[in-house]
Amino acid sequence: MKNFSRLCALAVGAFTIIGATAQSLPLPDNQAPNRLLLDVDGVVCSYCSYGIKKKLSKLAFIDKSQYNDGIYVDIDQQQVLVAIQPGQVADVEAAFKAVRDGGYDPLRACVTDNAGELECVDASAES
Amino acid sequence: MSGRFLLPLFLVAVIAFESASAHQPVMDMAPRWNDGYGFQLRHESYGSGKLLAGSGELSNSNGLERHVNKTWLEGIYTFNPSKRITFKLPYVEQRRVALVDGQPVAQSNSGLGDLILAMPLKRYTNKGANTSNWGITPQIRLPTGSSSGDFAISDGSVDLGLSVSYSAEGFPFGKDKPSLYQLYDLFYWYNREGDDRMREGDVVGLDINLGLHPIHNNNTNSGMYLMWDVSARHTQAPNEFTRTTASGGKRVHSGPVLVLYRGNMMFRAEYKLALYEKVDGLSLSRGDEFTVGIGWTF
Repeated sequence: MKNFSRLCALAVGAFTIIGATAQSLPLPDNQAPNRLLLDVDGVVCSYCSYGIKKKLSKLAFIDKSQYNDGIYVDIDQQQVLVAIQPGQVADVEAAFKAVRDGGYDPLRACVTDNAGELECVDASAES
Repeated sequence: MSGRFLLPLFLVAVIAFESASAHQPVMDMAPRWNDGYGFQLRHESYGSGKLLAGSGELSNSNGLERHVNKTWLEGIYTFNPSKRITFKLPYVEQRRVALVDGQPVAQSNSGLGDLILAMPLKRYTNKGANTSNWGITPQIRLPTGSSSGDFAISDGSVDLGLSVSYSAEGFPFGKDKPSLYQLYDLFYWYNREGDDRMREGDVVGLDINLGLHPIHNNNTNSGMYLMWDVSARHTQAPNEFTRTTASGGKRVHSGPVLVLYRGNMMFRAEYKLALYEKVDGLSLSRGDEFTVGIGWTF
């Protein structure tokens, strides 16, 4: 009974903390020029999806001066936003491969070019 | 049962359960990417001076007790999300007061423990805002610990283990609510005979982690999980020659788990209470367990 009481106290403490918490900021400026927006199945944990960031960051077209080394992972929307260096062309196929190598399944990529034109590609069409 | 029988039984079975933590480094969740690797330092502590006969508490007039501290170095290499290899190597510090010829005697030992190698094989399913995986993990425990002394760290045997697990994270309460993380890990350790005819009993166990992911920040890749852990073990009694901490019985430990992460670093702390213990014969309670660990993935 003593242990049970202590257990209950710990449970109350833990879930009080939950009630006092909040979610993070929404996805930033994904309609801006020079952006690659990836829809990725299963991205619900930043720590687990570190591999996506690691693999994408090796791609040459990424503008590492923005976000976290050029990459913003949104685990609320299952999206990955990539900043493209001005004047560079996003290699969508390489981005899909980076996501797969990172342990996840890409669904779609939408590229907003330097002029703000939007073009989307399904991952199934690429593979 | 008379004291004449209880005493020798107690001397043989003296205290404690072998730690058979089935969780694989690093924190079950990562790395899940091709050519990923990581390491973790984890400290676990347990022990008590509560003397049990079955599930009932006895008077402990001789001041018997046992305390164990293990600091684990754990590492992982992920070939691809489906195939990994891991190692776990503990540094053990253990001390106890045991009855020897009817007198309480303090004993202690320290040094490297047994090395555990494993090959987790996983099958992932990613669907929308959910990710899940089934895993099967063959494991082998090599006798790198010393089997000498009155209070041996290892029984000197090569042991075999197998774990079957399922874990998932998703948003069953809606995407505006915290996600739910769940892990179920059922495992078995076949403990073979080692040095000096010592043989610790086989262990079957179930670990359950259920928790929420109430805080995260996409801007900094940081956040927090709050979970609840339930660990159940059924251990066969070791044989009469065994001088390690092994003892037989059933137990359930449970308590909260706090996980903090930022980027590629994860911190985990858990405190588990001994909710239920039923020992074979006479033995000390394992006591409450405290574990704290920090790991990095690359």
